Amino acid sequence: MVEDSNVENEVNDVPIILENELAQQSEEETDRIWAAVSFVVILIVMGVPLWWKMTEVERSYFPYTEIADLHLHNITFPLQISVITTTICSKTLAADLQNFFLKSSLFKVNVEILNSNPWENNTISVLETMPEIHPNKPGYIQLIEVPDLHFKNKIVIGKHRTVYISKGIDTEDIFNFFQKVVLNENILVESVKTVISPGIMSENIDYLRKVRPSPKYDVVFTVVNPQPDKIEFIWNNELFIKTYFEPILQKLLLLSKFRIKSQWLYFVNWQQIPKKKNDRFELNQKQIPHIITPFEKKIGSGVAQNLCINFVLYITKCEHTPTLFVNEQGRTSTAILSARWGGIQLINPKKINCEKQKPLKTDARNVMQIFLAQFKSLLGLIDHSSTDKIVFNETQISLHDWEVDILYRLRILEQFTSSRITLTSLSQLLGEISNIVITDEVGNAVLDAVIANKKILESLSDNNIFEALNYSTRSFVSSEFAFTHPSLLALLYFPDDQKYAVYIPLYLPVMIPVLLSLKNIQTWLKKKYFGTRMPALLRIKIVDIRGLSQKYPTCIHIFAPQHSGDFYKVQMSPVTPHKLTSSAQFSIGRLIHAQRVSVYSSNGNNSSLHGFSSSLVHYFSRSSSAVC
Amino acid sequence: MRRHVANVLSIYRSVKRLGIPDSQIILMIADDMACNSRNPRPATVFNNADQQLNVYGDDVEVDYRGYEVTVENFVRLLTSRLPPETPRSKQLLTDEGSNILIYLTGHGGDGFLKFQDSEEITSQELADALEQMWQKRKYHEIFFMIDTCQAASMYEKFYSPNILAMASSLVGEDSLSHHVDPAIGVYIIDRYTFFALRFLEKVQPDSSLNMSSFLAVCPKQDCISTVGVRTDLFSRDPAKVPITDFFGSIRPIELTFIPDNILNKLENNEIVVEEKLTNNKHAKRYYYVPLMPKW
Repeated sequence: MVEDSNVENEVNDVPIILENELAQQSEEETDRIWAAVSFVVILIVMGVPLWWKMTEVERSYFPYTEIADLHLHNITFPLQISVITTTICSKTLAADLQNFFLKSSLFKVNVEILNSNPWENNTISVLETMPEIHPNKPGYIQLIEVPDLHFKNKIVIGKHRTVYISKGIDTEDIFNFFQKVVLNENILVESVKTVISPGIMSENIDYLRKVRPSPKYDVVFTVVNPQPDKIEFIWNNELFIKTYFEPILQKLLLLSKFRIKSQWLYFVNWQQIPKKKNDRFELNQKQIPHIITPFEKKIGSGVAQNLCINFVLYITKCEHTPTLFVNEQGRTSTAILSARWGGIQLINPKKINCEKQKPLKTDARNVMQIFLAQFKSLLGLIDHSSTDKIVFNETQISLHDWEVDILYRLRILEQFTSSRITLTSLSQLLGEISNIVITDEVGNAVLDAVIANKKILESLSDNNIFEALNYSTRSFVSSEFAFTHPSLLALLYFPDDQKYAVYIPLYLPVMIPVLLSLKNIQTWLKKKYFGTRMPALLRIKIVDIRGLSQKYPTCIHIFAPQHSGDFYKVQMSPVTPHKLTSSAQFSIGRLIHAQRVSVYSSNGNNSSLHGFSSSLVHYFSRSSSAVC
Repeated sequence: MRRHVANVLSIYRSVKRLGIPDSQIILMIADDMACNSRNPRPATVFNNADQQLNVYGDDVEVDYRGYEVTVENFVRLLTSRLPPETPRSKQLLTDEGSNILIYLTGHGGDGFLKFQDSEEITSQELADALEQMWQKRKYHEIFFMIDTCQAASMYEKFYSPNILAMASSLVGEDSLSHHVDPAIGVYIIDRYTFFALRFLEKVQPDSSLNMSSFLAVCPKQDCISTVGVRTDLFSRDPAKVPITDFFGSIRPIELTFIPDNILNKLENNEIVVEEKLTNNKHAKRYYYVPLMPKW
């Protein structure tokens, strides 16, 4: 019984211990929760948005819809034709011409009739020398009837922007002449076609010759002397280029910047052996393509900054002189043109140059005329000098005003189409791949290109070719700049799976405890604010457990089955069965999380269990009435 | 690694011999095997142990070497997104009329090719880069060759038109090396490239052979792996495509004729324009400064 009284005393002590311990525990708990909350705030409230913001792909404004809208409008070149006739009925001519031009998709023609012909009795040669009577702007063409036209076609064009016709000409002939010569519509159509559908190889030889459009070109003149020991060649590159090339390049200032370079190469050989035929040597069509590569190696166009147009003057070797190029039809020439590359010309030394060391001189004018003709072909112009006499009194290769206009139109059209395609492709790319960076630089360039592209059409409707050319260059350069900007590739090779490979080992070990503590915080908050209702659910059930010591309960198992299967073991000493050991106190502290608690006694000693459960009830009753 | 260098140099040698100038070849080599201290014959790379064919040759112009050979640089090169200061020799200056030969070799697997032991290009990345080229009108036709294990997996994802692709092995197969050089104890060259080189050595710049004979260059008894070919993207019949369309450079040539009314008919070969610029004060003449002062 002594034991029993002891038990009674102990039972009374228990609640006190519990209360102290629990108060302390609750304080600890609060600290822990605050720590968890601070982690949550730092990591989730501050860290995640910061990380999101900092790793966000930089995307400047990109005008997707405006780019899509670009394709709604097509380019048309206005052309103002002034007709001045004396005998031909100008009204029918104008109406017919206007009708014919309805076929053209690129030109919008306006024919204007000037009734009087102030130059009625003047010959072409006189009219050609009067620069003030010709239209001085691109987009304007004058049609004058002259009495003295003796050409087969009854139509001829001058150096400026005037077409001369004579009595009895068909309007259709005039239209064809405009399309083929004055406007060169074929090459314009071709240039658009090949850019829009790149799979189709162009069949148009004039187009194929043309160098790619570029704002800057390097024109490289190379004199190749494979045997400087035998031949002394007298040639002044600087003088001849200045005399013959500069006047033409002056006219192209608005088109591109041409930088001229010249060089001499010695002991460079073309590695082909010309075949002897009669008293000369021939390089046939099969051999010719292979002579360029050895030059190409030494010319150094690979280190040039811009697109190169090459002109090579080759002095044939003494043992192979004279050498001529011969084509499949058997025609011979000393000059060849390679499309998009440049031209090669041969200078054949005479015996006297080889054997007697007489310095070799050649007619610079002829050499430069050939180079100029090739240069014009490379720009995309048709060389009319070799065909019918279409241009009046052409005695030297020069660039006529109407030819410059063709080049302007061609360039505008090419740059317009190209920038459009580039922008569309870029917008498609950026729309599909979301982790490509769009820097402000790229975004601004794209906007600039779009605006300039629209302004081309506006300028053209005002018939202002110069302005249209400027805008087309701006649109082209900006769109190329944007498309080829290195920043577009900056993040492309950091795909999502690699991102996770970096972030997961870094953040997952930190984030898991933080995320789990959210649950604790939630429970704590619930307890704090809804604490009065929580223990109402608590039920303590006392059940017998057999098979253990009959006399005293050695331990009481407390289950919280509905919680999570947690198993709390309460150790009870045989002497003081109700005194809860520290582990039991801890357990009871955690019991508040449980919804239902069962207390099991191993020997059925209900009285001692009752003592224990009453202490539990006492503890919980501070806040509620637990069911026992 | 050595055999891959020999592979690349073999193809380089062939295209150069067939007339493509260095300015139009972009050669990327990650390792300098010719000058490696373990190479018993410095400045040479042979395609076989008999040392008959030195693929290193006289002038090899490597455009991207060592650590420049990265996936990023390769994709930048293809899509022209290079830094603005890049020299022209390191740029792919092609247009809508250009035919391109792409040859890749190295260690690879299903859907990737390794670069530099540390990174790899995937078949998807490559296909996207080629599509970018197509959209930017950077090529007319591409012949794509790859010599690696499971090489066919690299061209399976291609979706851009006008690409003819050839791979040394199918998916699931290894590409095998040809033979070992006992002097250096490593494999010399891969089988596929060895036979391709043997074939190309017989081709002359004016050859009339067509691509279908090249596609049959390495039958299974030689290569051991099965050579894969993909022609569905290619619009022309390979049997009608001359091999020089990809391995050579036949430039279009035409003769220039200038009518008589424009040219002078001077037979005396004299210069018509007299030297007028000699008194030009602005003309600045450059000359070489003597290296050593004279005593």
